[in-house]
Amino acid sequence: MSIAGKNMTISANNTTIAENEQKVYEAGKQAEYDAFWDSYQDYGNRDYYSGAFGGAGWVENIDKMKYPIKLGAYRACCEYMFEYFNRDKAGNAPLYDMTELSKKIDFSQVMSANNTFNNARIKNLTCDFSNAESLNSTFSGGNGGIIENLTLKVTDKCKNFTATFSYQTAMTTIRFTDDSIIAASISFNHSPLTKESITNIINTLSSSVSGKTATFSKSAVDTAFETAEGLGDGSTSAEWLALRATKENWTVTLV
Amino acid sequence: MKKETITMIKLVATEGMILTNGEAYGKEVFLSNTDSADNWHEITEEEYNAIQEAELKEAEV
Repeated sequence: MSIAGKNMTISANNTTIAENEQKVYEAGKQAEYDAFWDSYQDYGNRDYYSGAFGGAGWVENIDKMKYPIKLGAYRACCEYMFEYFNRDKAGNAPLYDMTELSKKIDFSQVMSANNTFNNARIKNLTCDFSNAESLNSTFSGGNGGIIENLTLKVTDKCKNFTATFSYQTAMTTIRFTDDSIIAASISFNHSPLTKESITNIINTLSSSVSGKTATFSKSAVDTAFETAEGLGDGSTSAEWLALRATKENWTVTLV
Repeated sequence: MKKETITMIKLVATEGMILTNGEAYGKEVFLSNTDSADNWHEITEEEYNAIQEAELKEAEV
């Protein structure tokens, strides 16, 4: 064999080794990925995720989650699940877009979601809480937590909205699905909600309960329903009073 | 066309005060058709702020 021929063989072998090295590396990475998520999600069988994704460290990897999540039909299975999610030390991380993640997490069977997104920094979140009986502090802020553009399904099973949205001082947009019913006292006292959001909430209040209160920020209503730009007279506007009158069975407070 | 006259009772807190029924709070309260002004009383804004802070601490636990 000529020297030139030998060189060609060595060169070809080196190429093959390099290709194999890459394949081994990729296989190792995949094995590591599988080992982590198979363990963390019990091969897709896990239905209890209390505290599972709390803190700032999950942001880089959660979109790589291997299995969709179907949470269990029992209490506490998702409490604190995303508490302080995307909340870094400085507390000013850009809001994490939950659009895709929302599609992978089924909350429809959970019986309570207390503190589930407490102080998370997220946007575009959709949750089906069809069977939730308690949403205590589910979306509360106050320590750097911001939630924006929230879509929720709730039913008259929910008897506890205590502090559900407390200290959400930047939340402007929330929408309850058309088949939602709010049948327990509820407050949005800290949120500068839009007219569309306030109207949606009033429309979602049950027509059959009594002794319940719905609370809004006075400045939010004054701005959202103002009769001319800058007047800030929304809470005395005919439009607001007419809207409020559609739910005579509710006491509505502005604070 | 059906025309109805609705009587709506609105309570307005004194300057520097907040109305409460023990659970809800408001500078202005639009009573329901089964609620009564007797169920509401005033607290100071300082008291209201203290209650809010306590609520925040409770949520942090």
